[in-house]
Amino acid sequence: MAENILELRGLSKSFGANQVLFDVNFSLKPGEVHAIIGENGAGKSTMMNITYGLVKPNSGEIYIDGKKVDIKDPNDAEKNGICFVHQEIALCQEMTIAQNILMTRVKNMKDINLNYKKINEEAQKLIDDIVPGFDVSQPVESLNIAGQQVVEIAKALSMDCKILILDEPTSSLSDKETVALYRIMDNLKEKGIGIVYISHRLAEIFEKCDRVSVLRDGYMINTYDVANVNAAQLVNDMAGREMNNIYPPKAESVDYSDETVMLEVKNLSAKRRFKDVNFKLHRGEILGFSGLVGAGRTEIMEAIVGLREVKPGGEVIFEGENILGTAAKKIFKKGIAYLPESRKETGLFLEMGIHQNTSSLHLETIQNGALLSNAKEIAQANKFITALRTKCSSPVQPVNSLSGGNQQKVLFSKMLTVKPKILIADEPTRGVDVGAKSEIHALLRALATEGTGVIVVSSELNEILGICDRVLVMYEGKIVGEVKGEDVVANNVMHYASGAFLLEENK
Amino acid sequence: MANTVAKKSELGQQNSFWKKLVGAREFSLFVIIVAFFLFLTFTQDVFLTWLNLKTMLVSMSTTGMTVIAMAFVMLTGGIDLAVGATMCLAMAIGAVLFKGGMNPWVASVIAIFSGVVIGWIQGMLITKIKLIHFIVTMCFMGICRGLVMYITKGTPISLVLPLSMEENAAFVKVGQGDLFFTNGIPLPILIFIAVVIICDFLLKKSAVCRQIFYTGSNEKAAAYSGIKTDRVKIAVMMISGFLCGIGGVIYMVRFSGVPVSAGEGFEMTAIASCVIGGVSMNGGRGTVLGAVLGLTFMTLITNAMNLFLVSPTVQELIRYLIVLAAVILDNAQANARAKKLA
Repeated sequence: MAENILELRGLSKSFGANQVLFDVNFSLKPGEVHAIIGENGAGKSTMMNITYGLVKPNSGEIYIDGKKVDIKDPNDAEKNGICFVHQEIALCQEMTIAQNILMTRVKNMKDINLNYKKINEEAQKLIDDIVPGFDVSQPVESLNIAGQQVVEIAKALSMDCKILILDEPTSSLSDKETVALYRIMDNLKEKGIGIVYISHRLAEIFEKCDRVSVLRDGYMINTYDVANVNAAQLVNDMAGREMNNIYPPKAESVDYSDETVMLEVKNLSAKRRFKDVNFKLHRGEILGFSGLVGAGRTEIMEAIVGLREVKPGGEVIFEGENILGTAAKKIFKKGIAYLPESRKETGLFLEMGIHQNTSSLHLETIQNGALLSNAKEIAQANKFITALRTKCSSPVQPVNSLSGGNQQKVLFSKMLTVKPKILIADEPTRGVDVGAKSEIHALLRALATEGTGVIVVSSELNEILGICDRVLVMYEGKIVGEVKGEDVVANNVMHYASGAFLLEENK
Repeated sequence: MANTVAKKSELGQQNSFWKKLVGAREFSLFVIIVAFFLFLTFTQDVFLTWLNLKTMLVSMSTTGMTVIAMAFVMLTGGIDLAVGATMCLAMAIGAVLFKGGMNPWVASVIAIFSGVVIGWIQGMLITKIKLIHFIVTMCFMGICRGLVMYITKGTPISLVLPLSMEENAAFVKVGQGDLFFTNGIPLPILIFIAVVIICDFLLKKSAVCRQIFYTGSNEKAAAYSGIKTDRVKIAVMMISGFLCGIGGVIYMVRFSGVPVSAGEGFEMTAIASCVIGGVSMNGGRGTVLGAVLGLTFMTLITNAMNLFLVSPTVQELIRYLIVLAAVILDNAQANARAKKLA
């Protein structure tokens, strides 16, 4: 038997002009837990999707047990003993645990005469091997998230699995459930199954993994034995980078006195989402919110602008009064604008025109008395098309015919028809090309300079570092760190975002 | 020099006006209707007689109310299968009250109000209990019809007697009166045209009604723009009930009574008219004018089949095959448009 159960050699992949993997090598031994870490968009998922046959690489080879294999689709992957437990649960909620576990078997139409008793027995055996105490005849929806994760793993193992890929398995688990998952992993290791463990959390790496590989911007930076590496080194590997974007200059100095406070959040909490959030936004600064996806950033912003009811709540002070609990419409009228993170889902009216999207937040800007003025609406759209240099053929063109960057500019237009006193931009440049991106960054800076309070929530570290004067870092629903001015550099932010600070505290 | 520049821009404007007119969703349908109209004029002598046109238009004025009602609901991304049944219930309530001695105007207001209440209940079920339009309105189609059966005990209500009384002469005009000249334009048609113009105007011009389009186009984005989408959806169901109520009152006077099957099948005609008229099933796109043109098209087909003595046994089949063809054609056109833009 070869030493490596799985080996990836020289994997490269690009989506259009955007290369996401550069000549990546990776190996996995039987009975080993090999972690892959890196920030959002580093290429972890693409790498594993290639291994599982979901994405075709541009070049590179995959070896299993030392033999070169060609994996065209997930069926091929499963035949080769590769199983993938995705981050999101993908089970049929109404069906029983047994039916879910053996779902892949039922694909074979020849087995039309299903023997349910046999299926149940087989599934029961499979799941008992992992964690005893499940009743496989119950529907999956009766289980909590952790239980469903176990079913996902059992489903993977039902296929004679040699290589198990776990994509952020703990992101939806509580501490207790995580411990249960660790036990399962120990079990699988003993059986000689190799585990690829994708995670954001450094603590888990040191607790459970044998080796760790760091990906950054599509490059495999380093692979270490966990015993021979420390958190600082890993943070450095994840963060160390050249700036490849040109960002507008930052504010020369920000006055952090009490007179310049535009918005103050006091003791804001929401059950299971975030806890004891306190911060002040000052005039003239761009305040960044960094942290991993799911750290609670979007939820806080939605609570501030009244789009999300929070309990037990807290205080959001704007212009001398507590606005928490006020309806979103009233808050927008007061001069706070919220640019949502997903323009397609919550931002734009895709099949409607640029003009109708631009006017949608403040219809009063195009009204003559109670009536809408078509001429005013088009004039307003034209004004913003010129100001933001939106590329389009007509102001009445439906926005779904625009590119992502131009759609985002329309979304910005919508926020700016009445100049906001505070603009909260959630992922302001997600899915936007490089050109539009720097234009949007310049726009944010211009707004801040003109006195609008700007909050930027972003999962992209470069963006946070490039445009923010001050950064608050969130980790699991709490603000765990603040970096300011000169200190806004990658290592400082990653120190908090990855949870490395926890390891230090423990020592 | 300045002169030529001015001329050019004028020309440009004219050009864009024509472009806009020709490019509008309703225009191609309008051309088809005109062509169809001319074809019938030249092939069937009876077609272009005042009696034939009047009959068509009067029948359109009651169905038309349910078409506009449907258009409102479809613009929010919903569907209202209860339009015909709501209309029938409203008129049954009005008729019973009227027959029982109530002032006909008051009875009519109560009839229309009952349509609004039915709409409100459905709207609450859709938004607060989060049931889908299809299920709620399907149930209310049955509930309203059931209530009609209960109220009327299954027999039609005749209003011939009360309507013939001297003091109700003014009220009779609502369904049977003419305007401008004897045997002139029936009042129901004028009421209908007025409703079309008002609704079309409001949907295009009023800021409140614009919320209907935003909600239908992307409900989440509408909520993120501060629109109370639940309120919009309830309001639209109430508007639907209101319009069905008006249609019911006209129907009631026109027929001097309430057949228990009144409004049966209207929901299907309404959906077909809206779809042909370019009202999107996904919400957010469409006009009342388009929907009414769709109804005109449907009515012309029926009229043509009657004039050509097409057997009633195949009329339904032909009608819906034509609807299907129209929808396929429109879909192809929309795809081509999208391709051109992309």
